[in-house]
Amino acid sequence: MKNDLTGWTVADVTEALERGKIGHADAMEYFDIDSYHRLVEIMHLNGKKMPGHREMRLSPATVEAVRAAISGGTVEVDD
Amino acid sequence: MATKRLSVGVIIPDASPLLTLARIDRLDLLDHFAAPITIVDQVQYEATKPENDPSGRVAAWLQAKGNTVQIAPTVVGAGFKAMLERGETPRSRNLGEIAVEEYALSIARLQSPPFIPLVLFEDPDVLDLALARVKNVHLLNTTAMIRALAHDGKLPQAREIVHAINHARKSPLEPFEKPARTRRLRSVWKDDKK
Repeated sequence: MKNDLTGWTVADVTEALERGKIGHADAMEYFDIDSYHRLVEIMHLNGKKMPGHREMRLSPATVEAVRAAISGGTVEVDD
Repeated sequence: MATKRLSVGVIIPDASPLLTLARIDRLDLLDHFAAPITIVDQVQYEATKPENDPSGRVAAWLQAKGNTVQIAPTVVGAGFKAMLERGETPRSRNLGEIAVEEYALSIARLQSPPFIPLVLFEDPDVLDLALARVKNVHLLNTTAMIRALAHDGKLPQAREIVHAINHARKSPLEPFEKPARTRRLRSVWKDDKK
């Protein structure tokens, strides 16, 4: 179902899209664009992520290396 | 296979992480590291140039850190400084990378560096430098570092910090990491050694 975004601000639209309250088509019509990549770019420029965006998980090795750097500890590696 | 324990050394081979954190006034995030931080002399020059660091935050942070941040001297950096002192105006473009290459080669000459290099960078060109091929090197960018700091709940405001970084950029700084190609990488906390 399409939403009427008349009177909405850019902040309203990007926030609603990030929260999944409105769909891609609504937002693309609001911004008057026909490129999904452009929509992603607009979202990122406004500090928002696309709905369903899953943040990259860091490898355990990165976490351990940073943890060792914080603690001043050591890491065990194969010789 | 035999294993050994190595400490971690943080290396910052381009000015961008320092400038990114300076722009949001969060250079203090680097103070989390008890491990030594190494910055090559030419990169220090780039990071503290008034054109790049108009607020002077990087210079102030470096001064406050004293000798806990090691400035690695290079022939490239010394030559550049000498030219400046003679009143010349040498082009500094790419000199940071060349200086880092010089520093990396000095590490790479050691068949097995005495520490795990944890490289904090943003410039993709760093991936093409010899530094990225040093044994056990572990690379990550600023947002990956913030995510890692947040991993154990040490930085609850990580999301807001990343938003602040991205707000000041044209495109978001997605986390990037290139873990060391080791079979095992397991930290041993100093507190656990008791």
